[in-house]
Amino acid sequence: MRFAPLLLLALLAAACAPNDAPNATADPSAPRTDGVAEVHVEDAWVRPVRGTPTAPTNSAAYFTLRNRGDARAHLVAASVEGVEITEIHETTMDDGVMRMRPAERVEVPPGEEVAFQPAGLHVMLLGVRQELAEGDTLGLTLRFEDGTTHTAQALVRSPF
Amino acid sequence: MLRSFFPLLAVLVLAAGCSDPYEPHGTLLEPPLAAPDFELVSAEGPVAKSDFEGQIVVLSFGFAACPDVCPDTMRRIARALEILEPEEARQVQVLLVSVDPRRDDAALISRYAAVFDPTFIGLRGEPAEIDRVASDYNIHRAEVELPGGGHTVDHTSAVTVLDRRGQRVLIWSYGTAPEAMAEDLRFLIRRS
Repeated sequence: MRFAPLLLLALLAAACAPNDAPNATADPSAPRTDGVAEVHVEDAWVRPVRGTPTAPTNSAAYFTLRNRGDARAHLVAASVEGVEITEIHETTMDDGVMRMRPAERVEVPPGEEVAFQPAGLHVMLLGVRQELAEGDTLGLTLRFEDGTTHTAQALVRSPF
Repeated sequence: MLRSFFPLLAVLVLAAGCSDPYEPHGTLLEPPLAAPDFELVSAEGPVAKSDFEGQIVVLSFGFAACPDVCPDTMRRIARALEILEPEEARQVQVLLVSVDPRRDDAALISRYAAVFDPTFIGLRGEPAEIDRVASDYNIHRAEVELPGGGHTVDHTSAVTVLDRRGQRVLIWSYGTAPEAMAEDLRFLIRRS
């Protein structure tokens, strides 16, 4: 009968164990289950352009957002090193007609990925006054509604 | 043995010649559609569509401020020309007509087009002229004011290809691969 209090103690100890390593024994790449979004930014790239101080031009940044957490994440802003203005936009094709509109807030559901890619979501870089040449890398900072930011290095490259 | 060789050879040669005709990746317009002439302005001065008769013309509509679909399309076309042999690419002229005359002057759209390939010609016209050309080529165009200020231009993203007589012969929808464009161009170059 002295076993029961020991068992209860063991159970309590297990329950009170720190939760900051939820995947300690599980597959580290498995999604979280602790009500927190966990966003990874992958394959960030930027379209090459040739802007000059007197003839600025626009470009676009693309990447994949993967949410390994179990809460929704909402991207609300993006910035790119050296670029004055960046805005999140979405292109849609409507019967062959291209339409580009600002996107205020992009949701990344838990366990899912959202791709920013040509003819879809993209970060528009406005007023680029320099050459962004193939092979250059630029810092990309993404800001989420919950206040978190994620950074990545974006590679300037041609899609073809 | 020799008597059956030549007929057999003839059959094989005929069979090779009568093999499946080329199927373009784009939409082939058969018979070709009329393509009204137009005269717009490049950085070098006035340019008419009829200036390029004798060449295959790739006609794209876009605008310099567009960060996404327009540069993607231009890059696909540029890559297609890289895939062709130089003597083939020389027979193709790429024209980019700005659908955003408010922001794009001739110098700007010319410079923009040339970044993709120095032989590409960027063209600008007054809004009424652009509306007419767009309509003639079944290109929808609409300026849309944006809530934060500024504007964007909705437009048909398809690319029109003209044959050596300047008629509309092929349409590539957005997303056509550069390799597919190169094969279609090679077909048109050889066909005429």
